[in-house]
Amino acid sequence: MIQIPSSGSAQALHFVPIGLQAVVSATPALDIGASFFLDGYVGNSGGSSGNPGYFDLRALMLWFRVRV
Amino acid sequence: MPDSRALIALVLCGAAARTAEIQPIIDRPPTLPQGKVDLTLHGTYTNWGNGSAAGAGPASLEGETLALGVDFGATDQFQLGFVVALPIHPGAGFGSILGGAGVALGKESALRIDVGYERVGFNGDTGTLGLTHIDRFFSGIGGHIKVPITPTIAFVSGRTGVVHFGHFDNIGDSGTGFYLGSSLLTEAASDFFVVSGGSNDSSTNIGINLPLGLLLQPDPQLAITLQPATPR
Repeated sequence: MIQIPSSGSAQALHFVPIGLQAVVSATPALDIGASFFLDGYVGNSGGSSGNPGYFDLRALMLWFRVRV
Repeated sequence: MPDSRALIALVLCGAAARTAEIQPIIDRPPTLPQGKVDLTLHGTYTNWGNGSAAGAGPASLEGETLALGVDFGATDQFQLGFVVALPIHPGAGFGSILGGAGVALGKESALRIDVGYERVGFNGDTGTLGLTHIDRFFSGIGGHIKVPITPTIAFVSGRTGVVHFGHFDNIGDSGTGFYLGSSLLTEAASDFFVVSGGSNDSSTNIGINLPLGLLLQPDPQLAITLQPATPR
């Protein structure tokens, strides 16, 4: 991802995300999904320090989808 | 005894019939069939460790968002969708709205385009903070590709379903939340290309993503995807 600030120099953030998702189709009209995701920050180009570690940005998701 | 055997047979037949009606995710078309509507309720829990850009302070910042998405199959090859996402804890408030469209290019691929608005900033106990929010607009273009390797394994990339555009992140501590939305950091977006910008001299962000994944369908009722791309 490239960040271009209104002033100063641009920087590029590099990520190698990984994720795992499971979807259970409980009925023909209902899917239930759950996933775990690591954004996977690995470094930047042209930016400052203080960025996150690879495992620092984490997310869990749960969703229900109904088809009508 | 014969009655109980008949009952068991009936239950098993019912379960088998129900399974037979379920279309495995690996076999589903890339866009919704005409006239079909998908309603999706999507919850996200975000946790940023101490080494994050948040810097010193609590061991981690965490929060939750809730998104409600609707997708409609206008034709068998074209679908439209709309999403509202809200930070709910800490700091409930308005978050994002997003509209999108998907166009099937074949049985196993589709293009998608998304546009949206986000209200990025602090919610909840904002104390003496001056500027609490910025308005950001974004758009993205992506696709959904599914290449079967075997009847139960496929390479996948991207996804359709507008609620799966990206992660709607909210983090915070002690009653104060910071809503980042889905376009400030674009690495979790399912679109290949995302651009966003906003008010108050906030940065212009350009995301270039390659969401590749492997879809496993060990059972018609269970699909597992490795890597960021997820099936619709």
